[in-house]
Amino acid sequence: MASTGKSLDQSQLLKGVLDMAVLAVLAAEDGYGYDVVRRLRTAGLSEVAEASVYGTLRRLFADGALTSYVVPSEEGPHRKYYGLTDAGRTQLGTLASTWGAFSNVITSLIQATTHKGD
Amino acid sequence: MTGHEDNMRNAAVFAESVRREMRELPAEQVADLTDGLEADMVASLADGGSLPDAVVYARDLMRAAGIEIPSDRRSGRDLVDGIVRFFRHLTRPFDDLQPAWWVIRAWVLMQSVGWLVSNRDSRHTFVSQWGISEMTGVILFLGLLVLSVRVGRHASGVRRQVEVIVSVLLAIPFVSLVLAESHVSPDEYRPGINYPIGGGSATYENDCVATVPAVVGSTVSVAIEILQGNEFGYRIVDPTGYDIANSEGTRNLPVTSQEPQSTELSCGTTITLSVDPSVNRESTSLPGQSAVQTTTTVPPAMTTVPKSATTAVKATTTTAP
Repeated sequence: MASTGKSLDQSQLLKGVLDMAVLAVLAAEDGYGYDVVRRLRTAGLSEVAEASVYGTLRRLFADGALTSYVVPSEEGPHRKYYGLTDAGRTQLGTLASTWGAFSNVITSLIQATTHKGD
Repeated sequence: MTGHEDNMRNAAVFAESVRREMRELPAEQVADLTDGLEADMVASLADGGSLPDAVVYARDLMRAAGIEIPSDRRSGRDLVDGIVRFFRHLTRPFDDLQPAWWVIRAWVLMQSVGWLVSNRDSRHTFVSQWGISEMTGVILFLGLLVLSVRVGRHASGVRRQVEVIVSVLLAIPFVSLVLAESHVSPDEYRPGINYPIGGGSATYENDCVATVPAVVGSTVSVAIEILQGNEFGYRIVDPTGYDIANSEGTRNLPVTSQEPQSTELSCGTTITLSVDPSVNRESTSLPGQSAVQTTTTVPPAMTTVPKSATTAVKATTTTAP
């Protein structure tokens, strides 16, 4: 990368795509807050902040993209599980489409720059 | 206590702290935002995670949820938050010592109150030195301790840190005072000179030197005024060398001699004034009446009154042994 004094911060990039990432995780399987965090981190988003994920879950739920239900636990406090609603699946599809187009543009730009450098 | 129980307890405390940080939001909204938080934190801790800062966490949670953070509406709050976070970072290792801090805070507050309500010349500021009785101080301390613990237990996040910062700043003058008062070393301790007899704070600088004024011929009251004006103490004695109390009947007596006489001495040095009480009796006795005895002989040490002890002269009326 050209030395501009700044590095590409994963947490900055995540701000724009966290909704999509959370929806994608829950599209595979319902999960509770920390379960979603764990799956995102396992996927490679190691810098994702728990509070950001939990806030995103609440917002997506308020927007109707998620449904939630409580699962009691014998060992401790109850867990609040989330799953995608139909609206959530539609939203995920739209976001994925936008992301695909966006990432293609960025990838093309980077590749063009790289080839010129060669 | 097992690790799981520890995690549950810590998660519950943390969740409560986060809720307090959201206290400006409607209760229903807070409940919605933090429902399930304990379970998530227990899972996180079991996974090897650590408890994050409740203030930062609450703000991130609200921001991600699309809720306007109440504190963002206040100008200058970011700076305060920055300072608070800095102190929070410094004090986090001492979180387990918070109960000790609550006790210390109550003690400092009590001593400050004691110092304010008592004779500020007093070198000692402990309970037994300033209270109406020791029990008064103990009761006050217990009251302040209860108050301190209640405030400590209900404070959280920004409020707790602001409280710590303010308390430390308030304690600095008090601690400075205590250190200053205890600064005089045993070598410098001279009862009646830099300490009033019976215990008192140092009032004279070591390099203070003045010429002893000549007061022979003056009345006792005038002599005392002159000596005090020149930073000297005094004692009054009769021709046989016994101390005499400074009383109504003594003040108008002429000083017949003084010791030492005009020379340079350290401030606070006691000057001995000799008077003849019989002069008073002779002058106040009327034919057919007995003389009015207004003075009492006392042991020498009891009537030494340095300037520091009084601005208005106090009469000593101790009965002779």
